[in-house]
Amino acid sequence: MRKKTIVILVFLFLVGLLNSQDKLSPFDILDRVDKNTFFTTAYSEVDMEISIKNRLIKKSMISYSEGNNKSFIKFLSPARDKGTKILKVNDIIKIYYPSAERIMRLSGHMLRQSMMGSDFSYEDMTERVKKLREEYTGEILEDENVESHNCYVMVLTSKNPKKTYYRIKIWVDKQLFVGLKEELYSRGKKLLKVLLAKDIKKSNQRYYASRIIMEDKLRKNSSTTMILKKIVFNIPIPAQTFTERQLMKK
Amino acid sequence: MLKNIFKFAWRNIWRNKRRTLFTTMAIVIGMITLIFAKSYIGGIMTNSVESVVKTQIGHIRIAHNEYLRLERIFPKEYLITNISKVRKLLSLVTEINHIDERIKFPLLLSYEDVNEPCIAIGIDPVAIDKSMDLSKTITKGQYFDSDQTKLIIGKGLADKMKVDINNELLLVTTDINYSTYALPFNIEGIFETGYSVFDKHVLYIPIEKAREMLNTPQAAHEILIFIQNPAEAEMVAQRIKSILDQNFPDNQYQVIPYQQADMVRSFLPMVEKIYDKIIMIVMLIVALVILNTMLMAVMERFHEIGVLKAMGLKNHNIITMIFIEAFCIGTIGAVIGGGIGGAISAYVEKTGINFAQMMGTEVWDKMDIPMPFFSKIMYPDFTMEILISSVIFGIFITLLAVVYPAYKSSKMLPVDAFRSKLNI
Repeated sequence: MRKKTIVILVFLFLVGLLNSQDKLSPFDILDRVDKNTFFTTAYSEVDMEISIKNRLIKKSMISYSEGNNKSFIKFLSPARDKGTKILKVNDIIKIYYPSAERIMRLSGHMLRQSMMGSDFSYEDMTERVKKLREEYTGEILEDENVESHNCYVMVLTSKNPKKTYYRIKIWVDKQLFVGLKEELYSRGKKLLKVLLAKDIKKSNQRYYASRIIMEDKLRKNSSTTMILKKIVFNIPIPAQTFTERQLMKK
Repeated sequence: MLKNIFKFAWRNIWRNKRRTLFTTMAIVIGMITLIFAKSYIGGIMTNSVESVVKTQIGHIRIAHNEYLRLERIFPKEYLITNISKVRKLLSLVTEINHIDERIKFPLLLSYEDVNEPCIAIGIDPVAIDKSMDLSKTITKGQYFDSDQTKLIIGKGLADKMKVDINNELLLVTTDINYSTYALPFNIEGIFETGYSVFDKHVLYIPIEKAREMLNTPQAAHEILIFIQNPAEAEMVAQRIKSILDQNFPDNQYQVIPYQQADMVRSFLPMVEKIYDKIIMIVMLIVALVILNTMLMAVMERFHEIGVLKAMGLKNHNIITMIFIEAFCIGTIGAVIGGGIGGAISAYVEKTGINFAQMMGTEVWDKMDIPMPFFSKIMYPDFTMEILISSVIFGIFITLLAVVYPAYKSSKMLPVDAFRSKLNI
């Protein structure tokens, strides 16, 4: 009898636990998504495939990141892009072009320009790493499946009316708390981009997508796939990595 | 008898000099207005076509089919490749005066912390100067020399970037393989074409540097061809097309004479329609002024006409007399008005009308008027055709104006004429 009671209690506890998980607030969901996204430092090796007008253009790069605010990218191929470096510190991006041996500083609305011919913009680098729960308020819709993953579906509205992606419709995996799909809208409700996160992997207790596909809906027949070939979290990165001197270094 | 009628009419004209002067003045002012309006609007039309031809489409334009289809978004990958072969083939066409190759692409312009998207046009500085006198548009600094690392920039764009001559700009673009490429250039000169939209968004660089930036050696987006006799453009274009089709079987290049260019074919007729309506309104106003003045001039002479009839002048004699008077006044007014209107139009044709100065340069610079249909300085286009047609119109309207009063006055009884009972 006692055993039965314990089993029933455990069962009720588990049901309660599941129910409580089902009733997560938008803030809680975004918080858990953010926890998966943010790290102290990371080193990654990435291939970028731009598919446009029946052509496939491949680029490769390495990237160092520290927190949300610092990153350094160096392009390794193709030959014309080799040596191009991008330094991001807070909301300012500096790009070094080996062909000109000059640095260009990008800020403000110029960050909306395409990054290296891809469907990602420089703004995607600066803005998307900010914490969703701090930038947006959310509303939960009916659950949906994305490639057999059961997902929370939320509509996020920016707290800042000038935000490029004023509205985001996001599909968050209920188990892993990774955004599997995002539709990014302007304030005028125009669909600007669609992001798909695929091949979810686990490292250091966090889940991340090793293939991210971005479609810029303002470019016809175009998509860019970022393939994370290698990623190492919490790796020591020298402080001088995120400096202009490093940008100019041959 | 006709001789006597003519004498009557001639004396009548000079008998009341004030009346004749006012009537003639109305015709003179009408003629000046009409001739100037026609010359001015003719000037807008001629300037527009010439500007489009010189700056954008040449007498004949060769470009890739897809480039022309997507031209608005600058599809940089659709090029005329193997340009030396095309040039060699074009040398067979004797009517060609010169050719002007161009590469156009969007880019990001950077100076210190200021970035601005704009359009770069890669040009052969010598060839383009033959087409559109680009060197004469330089208002500060100099035109291109042999230095390949220099550019010239539109004044509006230079102002937006807060740059001046000798400043170094960084030009960044993606090439035809979507690789990013950048080159530094020094500003050699600042140009002002008079088309504010153009000057705000365009800079010129040497074509070889444009080819380097886009990674397109031996290629151009378009070839503009200028021929000796523009009227032959359609015929020459057909010949060039058949030569190219024989040598490039994939049939990927279009050869467009300026008469068939979209800008001329679709936009100009629309503008032409608007201007035709404006001319019609001007003609109507001029006609009403002349009609009104002539009608009054005849009406106030009913007593006099009554006397003539009482003296035995026949109806047709009265009509002939009034028509001779109208013809003389109409001719004098139209000729004087034509002379003054023609002289004013011919003078302004040389000096031009500077709208930017009239409106204030600051106001003008803020206006985004689409090129090439409205330039900073407009030059009327005065022709003998305008003069002759306007003078004929003036005389015709004067004669038309007296048809009704002449008919009515010929039909009235002398006694009614004395009492001025004629109802018009």
